[in-house]
Amino acid sequence: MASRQARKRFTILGVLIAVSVLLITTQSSVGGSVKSFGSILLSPFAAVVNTVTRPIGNFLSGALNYSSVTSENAKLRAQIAQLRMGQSEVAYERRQVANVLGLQNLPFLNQLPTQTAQTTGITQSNFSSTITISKGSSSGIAPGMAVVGAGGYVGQVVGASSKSSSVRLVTDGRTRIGVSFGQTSVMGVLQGGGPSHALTVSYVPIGSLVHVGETVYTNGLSGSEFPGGIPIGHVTLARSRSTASEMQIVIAPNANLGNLSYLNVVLWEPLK
Amino acid sequence: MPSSWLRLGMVCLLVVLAQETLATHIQVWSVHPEFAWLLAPSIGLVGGAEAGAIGGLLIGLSVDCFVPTPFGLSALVMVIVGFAVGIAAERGALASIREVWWLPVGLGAASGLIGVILYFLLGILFGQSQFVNSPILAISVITVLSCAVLAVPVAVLVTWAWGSDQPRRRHRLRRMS
Repeated sequence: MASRQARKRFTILGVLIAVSVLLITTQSSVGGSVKSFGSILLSPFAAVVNTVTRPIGNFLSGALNYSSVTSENAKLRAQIAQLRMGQSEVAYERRQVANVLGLQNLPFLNQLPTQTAQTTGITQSNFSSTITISKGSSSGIAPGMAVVGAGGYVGQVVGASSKSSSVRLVTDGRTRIGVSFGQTSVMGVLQGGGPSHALTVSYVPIGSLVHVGETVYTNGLSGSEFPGGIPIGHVTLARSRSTASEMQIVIAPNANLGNLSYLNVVLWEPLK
Repeated sequence: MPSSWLRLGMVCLLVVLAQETLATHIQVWSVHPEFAWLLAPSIGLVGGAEAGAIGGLLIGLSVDCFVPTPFGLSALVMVIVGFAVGIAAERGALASIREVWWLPVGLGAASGLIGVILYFLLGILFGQSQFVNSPILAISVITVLSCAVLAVPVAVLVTWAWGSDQPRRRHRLRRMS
């Protein structure tokens, strides 16, 4: 009797594990559909709970990170002061930029077709982070396309339904992009470090001319996933160690990943 | 459907939503607490291995609706953890849980740690290469702490939801043997 009971329960365990594995391995079909349905079903409840708990969360977050909140405040005050100073120059600079853009035929974004979309959701875990945007395949968006915001590259479309798309942020650990540095011919591969971690560039030979502050662009080599010249970030650390075979390079994204209300999807796909 | 399952569903939904809304606002070392790992073992504790596994699947799928990692990964981990705790409870390994004050706290912390490590390893196994770069130590520490702190409240809620009208698996087994 007891052994039959044991057999039954292990059968149940086996079935449940099989269901889970089936869902994991069929992300693009069954798993994805069930997830979309579940998300639609749960999102209204989540919105209500989020509204109620947000002040509590903010309070706890502020209490747990008090020192960083105060230093962040100080930094923001300094930034505001700088912005006020620079405000008077902005109008003049805008005219200048418009003139330059009108004169020069820039080879990248302003010629490529883009689709503007609104961020509708942020799905984050301790292991990965993606966002959902308000436009999908019906607007010409397809998996693999680059997504840019103010400042530069934000992420890559990894899934597109007819009315929405999932975008994997540049900080995600799976990010791999061929990049070049500033005006030089130095190239490398940019890698995400996971949520809240720095981006790094690998395969840059020791002694290459890479400087702190230099902008990093997509290199657009033949066969690469993105068009060349999209700014991604700037170098915050460039070090050559005598014992290493490549330079240690750390990048900070140019785009403000904390504020991604509206984004542009670059409607460009590599030639097949 | 027995009212206890309905109550249990509501409690689990509430905890999962709190996890995916309230907890994600709280960042310590760039990591947010994860306490949904407590639910499946709590159900396994009061309802036995089968209830722990089935509850784990449903809770895990709910959690997976909110995270960008593969759908079914949390469910797989929770099925295993819920079943394991249920088996341990039925065999009397956790018989003194009500008498020894630190046992529920320790069980909660251990469940959280096992849950997050299993999730990490299975994620890598299923091709989530970004997991390798994740701050697993910080995630483990924050998860263990949050699970330890919330183990007793979650256990109380689940026990209340399960109710006394549900026959306990271990009592049934004893009667059968």
